[in-house]
Amino acid sequence: MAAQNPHDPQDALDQATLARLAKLRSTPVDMSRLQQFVAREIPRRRTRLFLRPAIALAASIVLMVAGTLAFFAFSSKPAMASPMEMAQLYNDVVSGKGGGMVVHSVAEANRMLASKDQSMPNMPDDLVMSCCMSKVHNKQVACLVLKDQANPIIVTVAKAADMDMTDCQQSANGVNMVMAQRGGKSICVMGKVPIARLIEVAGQIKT
Amino acid sequence: MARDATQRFYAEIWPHAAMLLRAARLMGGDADDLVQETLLKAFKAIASLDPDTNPRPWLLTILRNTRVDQLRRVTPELAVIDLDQLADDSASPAATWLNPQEILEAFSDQQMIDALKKLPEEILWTLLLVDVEGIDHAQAAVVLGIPVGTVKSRAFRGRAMLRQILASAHK
Repeated sequence: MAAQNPHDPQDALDQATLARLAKLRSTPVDMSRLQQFVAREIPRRRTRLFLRPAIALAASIVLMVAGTLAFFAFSSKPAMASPMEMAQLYNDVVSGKGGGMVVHSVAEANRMLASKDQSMPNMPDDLVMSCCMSKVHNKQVACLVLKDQANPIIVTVAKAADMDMTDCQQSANGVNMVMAQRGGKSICVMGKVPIARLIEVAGQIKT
Repeated sequence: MARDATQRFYAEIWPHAAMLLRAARLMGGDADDLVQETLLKAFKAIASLDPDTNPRPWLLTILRNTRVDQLRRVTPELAVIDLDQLADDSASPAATWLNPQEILEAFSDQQMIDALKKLPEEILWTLLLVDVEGIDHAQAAVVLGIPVGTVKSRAFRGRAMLRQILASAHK
């Protein structure tokens, strides 16, 4: 077949059709029936996140302070985010929505967050970290952005009393996530990387 | 330590489930049922999946084979597609599609899906793999079990047919 010529009306038409079809790739689908089926037929094993002393990560981490992300309903009870909502949070943070503040150490991050009655898990001080602090329906959620090669990994931390999170693995919209509650905190590690990598990162978190 | 099948399933297969469901929606019948059967087959065959490769073509092959099996239960002999018999674009030549990008963008996703569903299934599969999912021609050829050249010609003709369907439905 001859090479595409953008000036050829037929080729331009063909390319326009291809481009329109490509947009169907992002059409949302209702996964609820499928999720129920798979959970029943291929049950996951609960993942234990063994929290070991933090070790230096090869990638650098940038600290940002983002704007408000509203996805939890206001309630005095712990909020529970769906995988879709967490995936949306990931995309929002990675795309840099809202402002950002660079911090150069965990101590600096914790000083910034102390006034919010929130603190990050321990990470090595020689890493530059990105922290996204969100207030969602009055629930404080802190997000650490870790640049892991081409795909950033985000660690979200909230008080367990604010956010209910059972030990599990989830996926939504191409974003994998590993969740657990440790030391009074609800922690979610998520990214567009294999679950095994997220588990590896989770194992480096010390609360 | 090697991961077991369940771990591999959730790590390597499940992230692509939405893609399978989107593809299945373009076929007739119960999309959830088709994808459920596909995922179970993928889980059982996961040992044959190379962990270093992109699982999408492998999954789409299973989806397609499952779909073919479902159709054969209903219709024992599948029709053979003769490209020469397919409608060409002469009824709506390029000159009538002024600003094609603008015109095509005006169609909603549902209108596009409804039009795709009217295509012969082999043409639909070609457009699904190449255009919707962005799989290269060589991989699409493997999934469909046809030569690369046939993939390209079906894709070209399929887009023309799609435009005809869209133009006819929305005159």
